Amino acid sequence: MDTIYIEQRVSEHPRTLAIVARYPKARIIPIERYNEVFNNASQNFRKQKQNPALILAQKEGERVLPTPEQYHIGGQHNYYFSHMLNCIYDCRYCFLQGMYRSANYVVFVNYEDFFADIKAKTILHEYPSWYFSGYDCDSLALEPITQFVEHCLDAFSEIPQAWLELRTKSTQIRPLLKRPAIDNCVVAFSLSPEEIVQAEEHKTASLQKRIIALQQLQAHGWKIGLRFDPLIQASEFEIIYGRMFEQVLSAIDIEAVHSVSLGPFRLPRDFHRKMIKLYPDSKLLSAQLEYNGMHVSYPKSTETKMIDWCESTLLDRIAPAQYFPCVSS
Amino acid sequence: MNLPCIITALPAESRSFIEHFKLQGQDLNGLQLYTSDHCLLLQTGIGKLAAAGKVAAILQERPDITGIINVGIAGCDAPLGTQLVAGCVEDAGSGKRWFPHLPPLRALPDLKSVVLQTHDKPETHYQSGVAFDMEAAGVFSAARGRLDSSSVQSVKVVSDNQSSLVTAIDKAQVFNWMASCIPTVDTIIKYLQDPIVDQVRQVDAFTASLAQQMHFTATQMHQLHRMTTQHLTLCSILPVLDSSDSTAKAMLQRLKSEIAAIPLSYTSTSATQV
Repeated sequence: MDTIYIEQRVSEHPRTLAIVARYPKARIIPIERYNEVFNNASQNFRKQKQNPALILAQKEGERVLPTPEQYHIGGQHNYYFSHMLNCIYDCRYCFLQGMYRSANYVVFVNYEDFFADIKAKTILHEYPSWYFSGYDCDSLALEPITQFVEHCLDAFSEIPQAWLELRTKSTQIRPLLKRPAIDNCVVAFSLSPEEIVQAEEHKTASLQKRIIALQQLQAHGWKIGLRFDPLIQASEFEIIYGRMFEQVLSAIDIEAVHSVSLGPFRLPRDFHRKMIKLYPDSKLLSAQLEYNGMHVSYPKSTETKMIDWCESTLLDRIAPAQYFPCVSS
Repeated sequence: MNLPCIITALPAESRSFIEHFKLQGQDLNGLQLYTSDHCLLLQTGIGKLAAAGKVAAILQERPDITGIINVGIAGCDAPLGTQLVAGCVEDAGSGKRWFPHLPPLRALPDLKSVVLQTHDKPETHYQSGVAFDMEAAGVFSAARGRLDSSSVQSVKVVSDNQSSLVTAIDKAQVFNWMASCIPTVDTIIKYLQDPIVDQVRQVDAFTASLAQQMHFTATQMHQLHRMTTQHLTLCSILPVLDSSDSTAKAMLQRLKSEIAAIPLSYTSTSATQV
């Protein structure tokens, strides 16, 4: 990290001090509130992505929020939370590019407040509730710096009625392998064909490395999830996706997989508008897309064809109870 | 083409850059401007109001400017001649603050970042980590309306401190300090280069020339711009006019079907290779 902005009220927080100690040469810039840097209007996400700064802050207000209706893996009560905003990876299809003005990373250091809120939400429900951590960031990618997951797993091990989904493309799984697996956590990997990983998922681990991480986690007793999301259109779609499904499903114990989900490439209209300005040279974003209400997606016929083909290919290998399509009407 | 503009207040701050970048004086509506094909320098005079007014004016006159570097002298509790980069620019009068997105540390490893406070009069309560100048807030207030936080930077050289007050500054020293700043400014100019500027300009020029040949409504112009960008990205060439393009509507319809038919391949070289 080249530059670290620090909210004054967390400047003496032990986690702030520990993170800053890792970067003795970084420029330290004090700020009042993280929004004065992060939400400032005249920023360029693409340029910032070349050398993002880190912002250390305190999260106030609503920390645990309900997920969109179609976003679930079988639970009745579904929430997401973000101890971090933005991701170290640079996937060209990612909605964060359109959602945030800044590519800087925000880490909220008051982890305990998140855990207290999760406990409070959980006791409101008779049935187990689900908490998704990788919505506004990758759950594991910055773990060596934040150590959030380590604390999070400690917290969840004390709330068996609360289920945690860690969503990642990262192979930073050491913290998970050095402790016993807990029952109420699913480690879910976002997976794409290697051709798409190389062309569109910049700075991420290869498909093969993600598969090895899945194998190691399964062998260690962790529940794993497979997230084929977003599906990206390609002229040789069936070849590259077929090859990927085979690579993944032949490498793991399919019966022990907790859940498999599938989602088409979709973006809110406003996000898409911002993203094509940021990346006019992106082939993925230049392909034919259609406005569909407030969203932008592939033409309906293309999208349906892609989903139907993936669904039937997957359901040849997995049980229907393992499958959760993430498709909104 | 990217076009950076250096902003200084005084002739002594400008001279080194004019010589180094081989700039020629140009009278542009009363602005003290020095130009070449690759770089501009605007000398604003002292004070944030002069800086704000003249930066706003040059951005109006030269919409092709893609980045601004404010360079000059500043007071700070640091040795004379120390180069500083502004991590935060603060208008001491209003309290308004700007946070430039700084270039990578590896590009400027020796440059300390400071809070740069802009005062209306010379300030002498020197502090570590805080520098004082009289223009930066004016430059930022005018420039940040049009340019993003990565594209407006400020570099200062310490000209006065507790042991050498503002009254002791001499022109020859300022010239030398600015000359020592040239490598830093060169590095920042490289950082300001935006690879997509050329593509955007190419599309702008193409759509403008088409607009002279046929009538496009505002919506159609917007569609033409987007489809031209898509075509250029997917095929690496601008669209070619067809004899069947009798109206703007017909042309846009043809372009839309052409783009929809371009295959997006992640493996082969025959289709559009990503």
